[in-house]
Amino acid sequence: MLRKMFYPESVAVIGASADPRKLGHTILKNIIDGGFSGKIYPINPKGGEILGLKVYQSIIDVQDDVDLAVIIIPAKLVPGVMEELGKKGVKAAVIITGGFREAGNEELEEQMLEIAKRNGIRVIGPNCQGINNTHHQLCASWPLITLKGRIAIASQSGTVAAALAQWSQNDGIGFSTFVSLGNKSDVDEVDIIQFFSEDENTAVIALYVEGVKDGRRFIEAAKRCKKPIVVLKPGVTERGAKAVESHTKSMAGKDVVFEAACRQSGVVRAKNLEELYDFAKAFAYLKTFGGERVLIITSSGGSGILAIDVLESNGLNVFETDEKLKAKLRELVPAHAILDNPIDLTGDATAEMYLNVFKASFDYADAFLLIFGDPIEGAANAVIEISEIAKKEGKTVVVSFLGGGEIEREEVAKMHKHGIPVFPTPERAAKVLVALKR
Amino acid sequence: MHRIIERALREGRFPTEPECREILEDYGIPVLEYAVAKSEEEAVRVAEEIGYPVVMKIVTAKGEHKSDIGGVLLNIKDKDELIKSFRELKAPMGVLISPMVSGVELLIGAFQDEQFGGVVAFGTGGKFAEVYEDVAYRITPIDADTAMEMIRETKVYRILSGYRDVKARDINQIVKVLVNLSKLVEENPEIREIDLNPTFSLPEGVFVGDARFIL
Repeated sequence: MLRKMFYPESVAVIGASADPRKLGHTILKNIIDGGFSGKIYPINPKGGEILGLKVYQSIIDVQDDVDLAVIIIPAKLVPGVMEELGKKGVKAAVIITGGFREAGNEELEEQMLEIAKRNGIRVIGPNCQGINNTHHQLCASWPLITLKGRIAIASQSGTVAAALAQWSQNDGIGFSTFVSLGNKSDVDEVDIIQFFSEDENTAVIALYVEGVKDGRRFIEAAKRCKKPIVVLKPGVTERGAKAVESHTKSMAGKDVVFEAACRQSGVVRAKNLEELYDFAKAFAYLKTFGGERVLIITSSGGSGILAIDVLESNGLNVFETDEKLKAKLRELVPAHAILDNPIDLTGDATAEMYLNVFKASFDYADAFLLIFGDPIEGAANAVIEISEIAKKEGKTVVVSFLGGGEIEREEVAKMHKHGIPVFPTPERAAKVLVALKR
Repeated sequence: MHRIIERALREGRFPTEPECREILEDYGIPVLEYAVAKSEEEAVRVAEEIGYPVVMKIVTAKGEHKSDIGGVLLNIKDKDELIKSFRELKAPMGVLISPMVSGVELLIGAFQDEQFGGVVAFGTGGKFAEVYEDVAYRITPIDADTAMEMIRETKVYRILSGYRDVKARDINQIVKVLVNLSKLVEENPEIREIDLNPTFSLPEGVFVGDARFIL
């Protein structure tokens, strides 16, 4: 049902502006600059031309069909425009404008919603930061990000969504679609789960929600979803829950109940923004694993210990290596390397050693944590080979890189390019492993 | 809906503890032996049948925490103490007498959540349950596997598995209680809250020691 929302063939920007300081300008510009290949119709009663496009005074004046309307006009004018959308037969609207329920104007939101329902128009927002489908080159939002990826980001906070989008761009992995949900007057987390479960460009759904509208529907949708779902839901404390109410007028609800719902529907719950991003990045590329035996291969003893504490206190087993394995490894590593788990190759580790140790210890562990704690050249090539072997045999490998200077930057970029997520601290990588455990 | 809940709703009150116990038993949730007494003589007779020491509680239809209003007297050792206790409680609807037992105290409960509907809870019980916050929750309905999973999530599970002088308990009995409670919740959404604290885990089984339903 939301196909026209996320994959429109034509877009109207209602409230398009010639003034570069206005959102009505930014959004139009981002749609154009993002390379949208369908028709674009700027709408403004003043008419004229903006960014080289003919401006229509009303959507009614547009001759062809319009799939999606992006609305950036004062709140009180929205109901009138919604009626026009109804007449025009537009079935999807993204309302960026604020000043509805979140500002105490419940009636205005109800009125808008009633018109939408009556005309069969699906609505994202109001009070949101728009949508951006990189695979459809549709950036009806800001900032302009075009890098195609696998993570669908849906958030009740525009900034949270934009932060995830930005990080995914910095990492060079990108995202599939960005959805700022705002007040969730119509399209909510359940619609998002149902749509992106089927979206061919999405491998994981990352959600930031402040409240769930219908708990039972959420559980059902999450259970049926074909993609992993990672959720960050704040408002854990009493004060936090109160702040949720004033932010998006959502009901934070009892946190213990939401936690139970996540456990029962297989939703991965992130505790903070960093985890939301890390887990989404992990689930976009890595498979979950059964069992609990983890082998750490590191060049930094301290980093290995930091990881152990996270793994062991979360039910994973950093097992002790037996004599047989040690004997095998002794042939492959420097004499001063430590052959307990973590296998500490020490500061003069080479990428080749990681590969050799991994191959030799393959049968001993269910999952591997590779920590590069020095400027180790060729790490990416070794990890690419390791990941291919792991993928074939159904084992999970998580990588952390730190303290590696310029070489780290290059190697990490290369790994990300190959769809191998890398995490900047051993603890974050370890938490990812915990999340990936079935 | 259970007929007792129907009646309580009609009469605009909460079920009394004896009524709660009747509902629990109808759903196969075992409760500690008890009897209701409306007179001193009756109290003496049932206490002797049950055997000292006993616990005496007021019967009320207001759903309050009975211990908060001084409505619970523990460890009554003989007839003299029993009569004194009966007079002290001055309970117009009578008292409920039950044996004084000690075992692992569990919290078993349920409530209706605005967003998710029925929820069941399991964890460490007793007076300080809210301080320990050792509770696992699940949304109803739950099956035996889910019940087992929630029991395993708690710290009290380690005690129930046998710890120091505490002998290992038959966890399956608790599983049954949770599954039956889930059924009770699903079939009676009019009950807003169910508080079975404490529920005693004794070597011979698990028994509800106190029951409070809020409609």
